[in-house]
Amino acid sequence: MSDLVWKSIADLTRLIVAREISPVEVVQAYLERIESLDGKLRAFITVCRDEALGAAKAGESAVRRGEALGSLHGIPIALKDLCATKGVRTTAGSKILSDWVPEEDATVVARLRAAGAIVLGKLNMHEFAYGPEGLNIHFGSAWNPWDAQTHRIAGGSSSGSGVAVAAGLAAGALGSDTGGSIRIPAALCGVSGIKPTYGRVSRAGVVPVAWSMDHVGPMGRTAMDAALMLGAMAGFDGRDPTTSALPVPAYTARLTGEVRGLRVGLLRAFFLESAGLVVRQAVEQAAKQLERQGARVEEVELESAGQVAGAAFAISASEALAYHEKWMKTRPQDYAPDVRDRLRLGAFVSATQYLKAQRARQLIRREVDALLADHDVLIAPSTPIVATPVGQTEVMVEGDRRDVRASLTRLTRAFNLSGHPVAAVPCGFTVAGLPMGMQIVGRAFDEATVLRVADAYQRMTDWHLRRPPMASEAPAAPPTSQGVVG
Amino acid sequence: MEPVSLQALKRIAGLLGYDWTEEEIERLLPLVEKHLAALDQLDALPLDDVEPAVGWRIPSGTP
Repeated sequence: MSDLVWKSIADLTRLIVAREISPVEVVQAYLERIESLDGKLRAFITVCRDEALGAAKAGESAVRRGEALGSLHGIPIALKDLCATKGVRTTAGSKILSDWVPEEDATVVARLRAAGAIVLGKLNMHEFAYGPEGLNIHFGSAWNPWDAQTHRIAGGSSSGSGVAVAAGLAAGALGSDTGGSIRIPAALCGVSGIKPTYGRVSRAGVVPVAWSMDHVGPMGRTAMDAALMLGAMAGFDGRDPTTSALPVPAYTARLTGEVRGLRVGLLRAFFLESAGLVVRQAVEQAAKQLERQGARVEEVELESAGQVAGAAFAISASEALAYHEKWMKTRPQDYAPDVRDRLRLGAFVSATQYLKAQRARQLIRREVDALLADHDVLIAPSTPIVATPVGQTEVMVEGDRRDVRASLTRLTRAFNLSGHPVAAVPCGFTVAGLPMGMQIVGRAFDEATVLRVADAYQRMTDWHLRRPPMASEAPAAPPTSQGVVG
Repeated sequence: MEPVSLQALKRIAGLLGYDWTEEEIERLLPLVEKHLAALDQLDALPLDDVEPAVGWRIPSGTP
């Protein structure tokens, strides 16, 4: 198979602009790999083969004619299937929307296309993005490519996004993050990503989970690639009243590799302390590497971390059930049982509890702001555990039996409540070869510093360059209990 | 926290227009108890002078 699929977006862009490769070659290389591997990996719900080849040919002509090219010209990407795509079905991983064909693109999709990106297809996800494992009974659950023998979770809800980027099925992907859904699959699949500040990227045309917690962001193999995508997506959008009018910096120009003098807060209590030994050591090692490059690292504490779960539950559950109310009354049988049960929990949160949670959220946000007044970034593990086998509901961490689902979101949700930008980067592998991830949290609307630290860390390490063992010899994914839609 | 009863949950669901079976509600009960316990922990926070985060710090206007 072509080595083109392992080139970074930054490298592909350079080669396309220099006419050393054509967008058609690149898109064909990805389509061949999807054809070869996705029957097993199940990263895609819909592959847009003809549309992608058509766009690639148009992109090739534009290069030949010497037209001005966008920052992502000819780059094959894939979209979490809750981003509306004009003329292409958008399922949100559900049976309920399995035939929905939007009449217009989500703003983020339109902006990526305008920058020259080519959409390869729509990616698998936990149904309606309401689950951190990334499982899907309607389309089959994505297979984590870091274990060819055992069907392990990819992490969710943006499971297809994590798998597609990790396995070389797309150069970059769109994800969304309501409780960690970009950072969890990034950690479990060994890729990079960023949950931008709430208000930095438009949510217009993206199927919601919880309006006040949802963030849309890019996933790629490197922080540089995430920066390239974010630059094309971010900024004010009249279709989303929560977007900010602040100018969008040239993110890639800020990736200097320099961290000297930066003040880094290492979140130990609750965060590092929740993680298994290997994850904890990986993040501590990352902190030491930043320190060796001149950053000043000190331990900090988010005192309200223990209250995050209650606040995040009340807000997410209430908002999610409010969005799904009509279908939950008319088509409850069409939801996966786990998603249906979680949505039902929203019925038992009162208005006063919801507002108490929003008051707690204000306090948590202020506390994160206060920590970032004295530090440029905070670092913590993305997840306390690595990818578990599909169907496993509990995991042992340091002798404690823990719930897998609760563990996956334990360290990420605080920053959905606070809205701060968070990059996720791979920071090591277990002896079994499973990736681990680190979060880098920054000040509101300061994605530039977050990405700068992430990129600088990747210049010191090679975790992001490793390729998963999953190849064509991998066993086929088992059939799902309720069949496959579409 | 007061113990949560199946009857109370069924009544709440009914008031909201949901016709869930006893079995369905019974399955939810431990999850409701767990999440309500987490919600109770919010009382440990000093929220007296804190307004809810129902707005956002989005700079206004258009570019």
